Amino acid sequence: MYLCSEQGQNLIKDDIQKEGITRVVAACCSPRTHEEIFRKTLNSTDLNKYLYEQVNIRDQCSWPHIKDKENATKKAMTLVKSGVYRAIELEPLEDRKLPVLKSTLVIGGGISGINAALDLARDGYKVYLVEKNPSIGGKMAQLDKTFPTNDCSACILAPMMVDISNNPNVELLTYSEVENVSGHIGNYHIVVRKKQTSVDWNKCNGCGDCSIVCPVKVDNEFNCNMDKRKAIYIQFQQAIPMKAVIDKTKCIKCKLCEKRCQVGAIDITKNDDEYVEFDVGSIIVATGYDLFDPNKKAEYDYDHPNVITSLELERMMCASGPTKGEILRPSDNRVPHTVSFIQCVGSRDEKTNDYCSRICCTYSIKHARLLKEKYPDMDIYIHYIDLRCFGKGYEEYYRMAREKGVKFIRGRISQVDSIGDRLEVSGDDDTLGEQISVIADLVVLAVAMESPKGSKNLANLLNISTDKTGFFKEIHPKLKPVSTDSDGIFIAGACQGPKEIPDAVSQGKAAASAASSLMSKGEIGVEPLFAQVIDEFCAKCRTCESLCTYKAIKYIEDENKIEVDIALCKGCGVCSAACPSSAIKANHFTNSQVRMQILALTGGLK
Amino acid sequence: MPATDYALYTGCIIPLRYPDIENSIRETMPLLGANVFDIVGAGCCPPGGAFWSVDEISGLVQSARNLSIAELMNKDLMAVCNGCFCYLKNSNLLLKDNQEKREKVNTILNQIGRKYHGTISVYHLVEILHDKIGVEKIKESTKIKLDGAKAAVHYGCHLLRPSDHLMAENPEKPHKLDALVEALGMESVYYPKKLSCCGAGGGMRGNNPNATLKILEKKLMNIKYSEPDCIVTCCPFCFLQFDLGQKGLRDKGEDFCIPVFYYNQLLGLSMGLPKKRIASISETPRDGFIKKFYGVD
Amino acid sequence: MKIVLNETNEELVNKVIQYGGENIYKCFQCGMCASGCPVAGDTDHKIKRTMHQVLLGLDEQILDKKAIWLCTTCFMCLERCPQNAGPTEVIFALRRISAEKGIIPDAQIEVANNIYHLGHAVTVEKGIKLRDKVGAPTLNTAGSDKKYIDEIQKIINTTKSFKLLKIKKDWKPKGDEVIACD
Repeated sequence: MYLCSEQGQNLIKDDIQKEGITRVVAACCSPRTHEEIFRKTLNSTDLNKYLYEQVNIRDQCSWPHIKDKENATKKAMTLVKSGVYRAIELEPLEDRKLPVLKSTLVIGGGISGINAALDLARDGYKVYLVEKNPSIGGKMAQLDKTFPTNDCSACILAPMMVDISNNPNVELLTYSEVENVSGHIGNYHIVVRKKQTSVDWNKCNGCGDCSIVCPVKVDNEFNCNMDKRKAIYIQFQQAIPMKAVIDKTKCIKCKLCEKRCQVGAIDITKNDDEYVEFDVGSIIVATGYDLFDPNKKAEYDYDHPNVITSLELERMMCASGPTKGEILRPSDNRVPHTVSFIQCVGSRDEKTNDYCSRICCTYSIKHARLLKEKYPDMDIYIHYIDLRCFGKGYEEYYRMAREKGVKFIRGRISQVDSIGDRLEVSGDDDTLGEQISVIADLVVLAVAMESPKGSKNLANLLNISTDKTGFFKEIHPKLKPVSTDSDGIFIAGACQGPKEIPDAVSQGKAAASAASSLMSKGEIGVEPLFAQVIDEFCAKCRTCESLCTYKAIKYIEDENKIEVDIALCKGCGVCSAACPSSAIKANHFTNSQVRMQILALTGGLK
Repeated sequence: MPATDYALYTGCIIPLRYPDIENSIRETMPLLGANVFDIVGAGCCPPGGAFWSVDEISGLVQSARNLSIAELMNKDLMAVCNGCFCYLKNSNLLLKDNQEKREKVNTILNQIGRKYHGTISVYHLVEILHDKIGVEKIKESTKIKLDGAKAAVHYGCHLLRPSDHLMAENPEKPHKLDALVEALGMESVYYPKKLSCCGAGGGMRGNNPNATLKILEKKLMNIKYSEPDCIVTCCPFCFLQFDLGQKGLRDKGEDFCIPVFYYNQLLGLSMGLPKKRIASISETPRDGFIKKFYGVD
Repeated sequence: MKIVLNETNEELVNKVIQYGGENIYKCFQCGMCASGCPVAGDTDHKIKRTMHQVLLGLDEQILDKKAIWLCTTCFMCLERCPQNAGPTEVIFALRRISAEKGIIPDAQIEVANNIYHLGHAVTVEKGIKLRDKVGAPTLNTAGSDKKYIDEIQKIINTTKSFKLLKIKKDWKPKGDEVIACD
């Protein structure tokens, strides 16, 4: 029988009610996953839920000592003993209530952030959507078709973008970045920096005349630098908002745009960024991903014009892209006859990123299929290690690519060499057991997804964790996939780890739902694990004040009193340990509770 | 520039098969401010293909003996062969790092009255020319410029790999030997699979003479892609493979006759040193190249 | 030939780890090693297959065959291996295991005996003649003096390689050909 099953919990309830039990100790797994369940069991009786103690004899005992059963058992018994003695000193506590603002900050306007923002806005919450680019849409806006249905990316994304701009509950802050975050769950104070566009967006009607007259041509990031945009530009044709921006680093201040603008929206003398401040009850981080820089794999010769990344191919495939949907070798603008796809560039590689980027297998299959549909005679090779087409409908998608004659070669590619106007792709065919080479016209590198630049800074700002790969870390990979170790802050989409559109959307919606359930009642119960000052013992030395990381302790001069702000206090216990006159009590971790535990562990108690 | 002193480790192939290369190193380096001193009594490095391939300590102890002689000279070691560089540098790092192996090796060396201390560093000639002397100094020191000559640069494996130990070059985009070749006025041309092996190493030349020539033939086909006037290398074993291997291929009726030079041979010729002393031993003729670009018979 | 996998030598992989191929378990058979191998196209040396054979314990297919001695030790596989599984190190380990079984090719024996008796991997007499011809200074390396050769013999005598490389006390070099040096 499992103690956490209904049967097991009933057993505890019965004992409490029939035997007059006053404390409960469970020796089982991690409190991280199960403490809440048992506390609820106590709550359903007359016993206060904080009179429960959980001893973790799994993660901290049986797992690490799996090869030493005898000593592990001894250690478990000691741990249980310490739990029992601590339980003796437990005190009943009441949850504290915190008010929660019914508004959310969503950081990142890609497909995940858009979904989170729309769901919350439709439920009536105020949403501030911050996006660093001039338009929302994210990476998905750059895609041509999406797997496994091959529907047009813009066709399914654009209506959602329009919805965002039409929803009165959404305040769209594009070309903006989060500058500062303070406060706590339920009440965060946010400062956003709006980068200077030099265009009055209240007046700009998105006609694009300014771009036409602008004489400065610069690389167009949206098209992966394969064509040029102007120094004053609208990011792309379906941009939301459809407003112009001046790239201050490139503008030569000729003022032609200013003269041309019929609504008088442009003022190139405006240089200073603007700051916007507001308060929210919750935060959703959906900052997406960056692509691996293939220059780090010099053997694949990305310097060569005909070696491109998958996103570059994607832009070429797009009817509004730099080649108007034609697939052309960049070196001579001719349609390639042979195309090789190299998988896992920067993925599953200890020298770069050791994880699998999850989407590359299927998107390369997509590219191969789309190329075969448009150019049936094209000779296409996909060089892979393992094909990971795990999603719903993906296997069928892969089969259809084979049926169209795409050649799948298992074996990693060693290098790409330029041979005349073509490229030699040298590798290995696992099944043949032989080295192979393909003379290709175009080589497409399936580059890895990486955590976006600036993730570390944002993590510090929000006080949330990143994992070793730089992606934001969820509390529990299975049970709490969108929660972070800061209550009230949620993560969604590829900023948590590589994922495809369906998963990014699911997480956006999951984060919205988590934020909504937090905000719906307008207040939340928080564990009362905060510090309390016993004034009569306090010497007002203010040691605690200087040590508190969360700035929760303040000396009130008028009243000659030390006060703890329980909304800010995390119950870490530093103040309590440091107080020279033992005047600070850390709830649920009192000196007597900890002392009993130590005595039991060190054998001081018989 | 202050003169810097090095312990010159010549290895086996240079002193005993291509002593003209040895002359070219001995005579050019001091002109660039790098004085070389002999490691008297130095033996084989030894090669990975034999001793390292059967027992690590057997390889280490012979390397340590060579290093210990150079340590007595109190000078850093200059390796002029990729194989020697790779195994000596690797041994030096391993012995500096691993006390257990160092003690094991010193117990054996003690029998012959020698001891490894770990007091010197190992450099490849290319590192010294490029990093310590510098391309500008080489440009200033050469009289004859090889304008219009095209060189196919071959780095050889053991200057580049394993890069985390050797740290002499970017293993996927090496540039030092190219820069040194261009300092002589030549063009270093692109050719496919530039970093691939010449096919000589690891015992291959002895164990499978047919395969070694096949690998070389592929390498040469790639080199021919850019129609170079010569091949330039910084490893005597690669040099030997290109020199004798092309003869081997010619004997089989193939048409391979690209002049091969060790870098310092060209450097010396550009400084005006006599061909007889520094570039006169080869089975694949080089006189045509020397006549054309240096005007020397 | 059908191979019954659970009747293979499970000890092989541990031995390879012990002899220097310590990262073999990292191998996930992507084929990068075979991809860039200079000899795979012209010989039976298929490094990816060898890695897999070690993991499966198929010792007879590796140790009794000549293929592991055809590696040029160019380290390309080790350099590019995305899992840092060290294929070249595995080859060295296999050669060491193979040598202990008495399997060692003639070229290795030839080079080792040259080093033992002459101080160098190649014959010395021919070298001295060439040095005279180009006016190189008098030879002063190990091959120039018996006292240095004695040193080298003494240290080789105390190592395993004396036996493993089948070094003979009465040795006559086959010829002046250069067989191996790195």
